[in-house]
Formats: sequence, structure tokens, C-alpha cells
Amino acid sequence: MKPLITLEGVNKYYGDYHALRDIDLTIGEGEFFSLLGPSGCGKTTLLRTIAGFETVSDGLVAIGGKDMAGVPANLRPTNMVFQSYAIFPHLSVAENVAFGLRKRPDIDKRTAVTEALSMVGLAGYEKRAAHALSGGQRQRVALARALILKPKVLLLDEPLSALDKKMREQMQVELIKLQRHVGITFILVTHDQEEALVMSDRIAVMFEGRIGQLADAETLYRRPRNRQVAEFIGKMNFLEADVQPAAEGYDLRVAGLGAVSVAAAQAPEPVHGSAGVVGLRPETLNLLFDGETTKQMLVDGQVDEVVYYGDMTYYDVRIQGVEKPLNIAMKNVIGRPVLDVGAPTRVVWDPRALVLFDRNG
Amino acid sequence: MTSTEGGRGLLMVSPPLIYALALLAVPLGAILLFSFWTQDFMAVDTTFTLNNYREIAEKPIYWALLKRSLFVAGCVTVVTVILAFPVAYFVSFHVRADRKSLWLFLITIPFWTSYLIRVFLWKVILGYNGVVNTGLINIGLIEEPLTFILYNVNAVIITLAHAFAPFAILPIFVALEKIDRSLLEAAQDLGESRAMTFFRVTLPLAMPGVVAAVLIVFIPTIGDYVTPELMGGAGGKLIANMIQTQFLALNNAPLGAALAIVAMVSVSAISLAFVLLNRRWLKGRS
Repeated sequence: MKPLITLEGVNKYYGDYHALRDIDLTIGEGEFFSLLGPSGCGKTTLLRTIAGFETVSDGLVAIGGKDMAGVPANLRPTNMVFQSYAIFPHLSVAENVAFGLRKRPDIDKRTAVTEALSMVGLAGYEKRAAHALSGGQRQRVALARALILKPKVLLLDEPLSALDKKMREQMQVELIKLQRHVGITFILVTHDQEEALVMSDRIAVMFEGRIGQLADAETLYRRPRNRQVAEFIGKMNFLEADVQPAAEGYDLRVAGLGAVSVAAAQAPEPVHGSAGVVGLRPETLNLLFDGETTKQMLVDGQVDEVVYYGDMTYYDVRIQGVEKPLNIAMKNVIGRPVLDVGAPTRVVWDPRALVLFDRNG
Repeated sequence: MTSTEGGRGLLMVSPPLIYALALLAVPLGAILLFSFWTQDFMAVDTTFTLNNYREIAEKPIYWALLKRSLFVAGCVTVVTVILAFPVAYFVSFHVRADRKSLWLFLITIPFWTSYLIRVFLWKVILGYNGVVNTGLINIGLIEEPLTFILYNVNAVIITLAHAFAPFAILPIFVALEKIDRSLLEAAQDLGESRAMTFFRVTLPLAMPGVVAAVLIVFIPTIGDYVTPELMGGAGGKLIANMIQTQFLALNNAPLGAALAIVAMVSVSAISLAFVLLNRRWLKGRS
């Protein structure tokens, strides 16, 4: 991966407020990169810093090997799709898309606009007035308007948050295809973990101005570095555990589940001391229904809550020795009943699915 | 009748409707009617005639006065709007959000005094021995007092431009406030400098406010009577002064009425033409 954007020791203050803290980041050419985090974590500030709308208080921002200090937004090789889309209301679709071409006399406007619009699925919309567009169409115009300039980097600031669920899922797929087609670097800001997992090559999870973890989707989901990341990405059950270092990993005594050994790789960060927490994703746990057998570990429990989702049923199951019920996701396959609240049940679990964290980490 | 929704609505609008009819439509109709009559020494001859309009068309004095009124109103409008725009822009873009109302409030303070008093104050400022002249003489920039700033058209323009400033600032301010700030960032992101962003995005989007300001300033200044009377001297009188002269001094109400109608029609025609020309800017906005 050839690096395109480099951030080194980037800090940003708004008065006393420390919005970005020591950000070190390298984003590659042609990468689909996401900045994920709760609102106020600094992800949008970071994006705007790359775009040139914010200046850094300290640190280096370089694009394509060039230091961007003092380079205003209009001279950077980046283009942005704004959260509000920022479609110019006094211009037609074609005029919006061609807005940035004023200084590019080498490009034939008409052909470029036609191409850009057909790329985003809006062929024939040239003469449409900007105010007569739906939310999804406005977003496509914003995309075409940015991509027509063939930037090195396309910045997307929560581009899907204003769309309804169906439209959002459709646009996710289209954006992935579009990114593969044009081959330029996309940097997406989102607070939606699912969106980030679906779309990105790599994801930086941010909390309070810091990068909590930087990894690909699978690593983030299966081996989150700490409880904060684990809780933000998907759901996870946490159980307290006593930790003993062993030759090939750790020996654990997990509350409610008992003694078990895990591999060193199951602790993304080494655990020092004996206070640990194990995490279990809801889909790695199973309920054992009547007539089924398993060779895996079993623990008795009682159904506390049932949420039926159609394709899935989510159970809260109480097990002895643990205060919080376990969250368990079960696929609704043929012949499998939906249990009632209060029903006794057995929980199947696999030590290989455990993720071990330091309790103080 | 009041039980139906339409009836209730009618009942609710009737006080202002009666007010508008009695104090706007009726006098307007009366003026229109009068303009087709003639003054016969002390009595009014009520036979229908176009003689008043014929006289206005034939005597160059009326045409000259109307032209001067339009010229003065045009100048006042241009000066006011050009001076008001930066003020509105500053308050909208460079004043902290929680201070904006305070700034608007401060802008209106000079207008708490009566219009008449402000006109007289301009006399003090622009007069032969006024503030401007004595000031300029004292710092040695001029030796003789300037005479082109009082009792002529210039004085009328200066006074009216000041009087109508807030009426121009407010609509432009409102239009600027409505501009989504991300549009300006988008323009910069697409490669435009701050200056080009202003001309390609800010100004076009502020046009509805500018159009409103132009109409609000232009329409009343054409018919202004007080300022040209007090500041205009002999050469700075406008159409309204002539209408007043016809009605009161020359006791020729029908001719005055015809002049009023001619002035009104000219204003309407020009305003309408202006609005139509600006359709391009106004279309599709809300």
C-alpha cells in the first residue's frame, strides 16, 4: 500500500478544548478508510483538518508527500461530500456538477458532466433544478460534483446519515462499487459501526480525540483492543475473570462459566495482573434446544427476555454467578422454537470465542 | 353566517379590511377620479376629461420633475444598497451569533429620533457654516465652504440614503442569514477563492434580499416630500413637491391628482420591470 495521506502528532485545540490528541495516521492510495466514533469524538474535525477547513494546532498533515500547512481548502487535492450535501440551490444539477470546472479549461464541461452524472446514476438530470431533488439524488449530485474534479482523496462527512434505511443500504453498496471503479482514496466519517464495517478496508475508531484502534473490520470486531472499542462495535457480553499467565496463554476462572484456558492471541493487549474481563459476542453463544447435543461447554440458565426479529431471536439469559444476563443471538431455523420468558435453558459456549481484556484497561 | 369557517375568517379579517378599504382604496379611487376632472377657478368641473394628463405630457416642467425624481430615487437606492450590503454582511458573517440582535438593535438607534429632526440635523451637518464645511476649512483642506452639498439634489440624495439605510440592511441581512454556511465551504472545496465564492455563491443567494431592499428604498423615495422640501432648495424639488403645490398653493387638486397618478404608474412600472428582470435570481427559492 502506497501511503497517500500522512498525519503525524496532530493536535487540535479549540480554546481549552482538546479536540484531536496526538493523531498518527497513514492512509494509503486507493484505500477505503473510515473514521468511526460517537459524536464529539473528533472524527469530523479530523476530516476537516485533511480538507483544509481546520488548521492543526500542532503536528503534520501531508497529502501525496506534500506538507499541507498553510495550503487552503481550495488548493488541496481533496474534495468533500458534505453532510448536508451543500448543493447550490441557485444552480441546476449540471451547473452544480460543473461548479469546480471553472479553472479547468482543458476539460470539456458538457462531456465531463454527462459522464459524472451517469457514473452516479443520474444520467439525464442535467437541467433539473437543485431544489427539485430528493435526498438520495442530492447526495449523488454531491458525489458527482466532487468526483468530476478527479481528486486524490474524496472526503465523505456522514454522507448516509440523512437517508432512510433502505436507501442507506443501497448507497453503501453503490459507494463501494464507485470507489473500486474510480480507484481513488475515500475517507468516510460515520458514527454507524455497521456502515464502517460494511464499507471500509480499514477503520480508525476514535474516542475523545484519540484513535482507540486502527484495524480492518474483522480484527476490530473479533479482536477489539479494549472494552471501549468492543462496546462501540456491535454488542458484547462482559464477564469478570481471574487471570493466571500460563505457558501458551492464560488460565482463567470466568464468573458464571468456570475455569478455562485461552491462547495468548485471544488477549489483543497483554494482560498484567490477575484482574481480567472476558468478552463474548452474542452470536458466539448458543442455546441448546431439546433433542440437540453438543461437545462444547454448557452452562445452565433461565430466559429473562425475548426479542423476536424475524430472522433472528435475541435472548437475555441469566446464568448463576453473573449479575447481568447474557445476550444471545439465535438464528431462527426450521424446527427451532422461540422460548418463553422464564423458561429454563442451557447455554453453549466455546472458549475459542473469548476475548480477554485487562479489567483496568 | 359566522358558523362557517369562511364566515369566521371574513369576520376576523374585516377590521383590517375595512381599514384598508376606507384609508387606502377609497382615497386612491378618489385621486383617480379627481385626475379626470378639472379645476374651474373655485369649483371643480366634474365632466370627464384627459386634459390634466395632456397638460402633464405637454409641459416640460412635469416631465423634468418626474425624471429628476426617478434619478434621485435611483441614486438613493444604489447608494443605500451598496452601503447597506457590507453592514449586513459584517453582522451576518463576522458577528458572534449571540451578539447579532444587539448589533441590529444598535443599527436602529439613530432612527429612534423623528425623521424631520434627522433631516434638520443633515442641514446642520451639510450647511454653509455646517459641520462638514467648518471641519474641512479648519483642517485646511478647503478655503471656501463647499456649496454643492446643500440645497440641491446631492443633499437630497445624502439625506434619503441615510434615512433608508436600515430598511436596506435588514432584508439583506435576513437573506445572508439564510445562506447555509456549508455552501461557502463547498465552493472553496471545489477550488474557488474567498472572493470568487462571494461572487458565485454568496451574492446570488443574497439577491432576494437585495431585490427587497431595492424595492423598499426605491418606492417610497420617489414620492418623498419632506427631504426635498427642506434640503433640495430650488433645484432639488421633486414630483411630490409639485403635487403639494398643485393641491395647496395653486388650488388645482385635479392636476395634482393626475400628477400623483402619473408618479404612481411610473413607480409601479419600474418596480415591476425590476422584479421581472430578477426572476432568474428569485425563482425556486423559498
